[in-house]
Amino acid sequence: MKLAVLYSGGKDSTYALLKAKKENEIVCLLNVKSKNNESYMFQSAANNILEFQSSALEIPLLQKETLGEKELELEDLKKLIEEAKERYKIVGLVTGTIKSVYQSSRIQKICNDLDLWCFNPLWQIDEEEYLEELFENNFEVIIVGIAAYPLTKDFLGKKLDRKLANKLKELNVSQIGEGGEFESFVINSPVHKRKLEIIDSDNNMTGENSGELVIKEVKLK
Amino acid sequence: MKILLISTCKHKLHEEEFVKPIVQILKKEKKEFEIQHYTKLSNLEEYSHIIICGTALKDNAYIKYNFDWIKEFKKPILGICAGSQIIAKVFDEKILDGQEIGAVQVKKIKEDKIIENINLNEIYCLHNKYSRVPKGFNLILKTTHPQLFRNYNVICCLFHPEVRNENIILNFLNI
Repeated sequence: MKLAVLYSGGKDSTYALLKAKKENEIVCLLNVKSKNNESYMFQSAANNILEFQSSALEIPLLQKETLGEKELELEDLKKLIEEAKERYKIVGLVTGTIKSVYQSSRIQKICNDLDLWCFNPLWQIDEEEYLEELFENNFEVIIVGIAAYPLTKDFLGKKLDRKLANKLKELNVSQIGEGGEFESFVINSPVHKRKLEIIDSDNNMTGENSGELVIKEVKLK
Repeated sequence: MKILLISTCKHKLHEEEFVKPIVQILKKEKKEFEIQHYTKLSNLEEYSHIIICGTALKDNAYIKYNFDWIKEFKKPILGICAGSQIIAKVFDEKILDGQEIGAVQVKKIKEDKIIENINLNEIYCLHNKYSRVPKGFNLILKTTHPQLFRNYNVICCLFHPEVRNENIILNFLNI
């Protein structure tokens, strides 16, 4: 089946892509670039370098900007999916949604309206089992956004490995950031044809426990 | 106790979404289980409980399939979403069009052990089809559609208990 992946560059959508790719053809990545970094639906961190991610994966990217206003951003998502259906003849959409009924039900409705299959291969996945699968599959994941106490700017740019996962557990923070505590970006994985290397970055802090890693320069290895 | 999970998914990838969450619940409870697809069932007599799992909104292939074995199976069966519709059809109800997607408020009609310790504020629905309550079944929960109904051993759950209401599955395993 020809499928699109709703893609943020983060670990969840990349792992969903890996699962979907086993028996399907992933013909494009879809990203809604939200101007609202508190969007309920879309990750904003690192979405300025998704073109590089698309090149690293060798899968074309369709990206659409949205103001990120609640519900209106869904109309932008629907238009983007319609465009993918038209251009790439997709018959379904894959997402990396894990627990959010809010996100999942809205995407399900859009797919249903557009007569598309909707796949959520990480739905309800056990947090620790999922992390272990990421490590076993050699996912290289960095933290590109934080939005919860007690996470501070020191976490930005850090690699999500077993050590950091244990630290997050000690701090009583979801190790997969499922409550929006942090946002991630995958720089290498089994679906990457080339690895991404971050050359230059800066922290953009909006509060003591909220901010993003602004990636200024990146190259493909 | 050995539990059979029946997949109703046309596409293997959907089993990650509709079967695996129930696998995780059974693993956590250290229950022995196996998974079979509804088109390739065998040795049903080996199992103490059967759970017929749900499938994707767009997947209606199960509707035309024959599940008459359900009437002969004398041990507990739980049908979730598509599974619920399958059971209702076996007990002579029609499958009707009717959509509910997302978190929905539910109304309790009758006390029952199957709903002990569950969250009645919001249930997670994902269906384009539903059924009425078959003869001989008691309605326990409803929204605009009948959500949970049972006769003694056979339980139909139109919503997805594996999302936020896994106690329904645990209560079922205690039958």
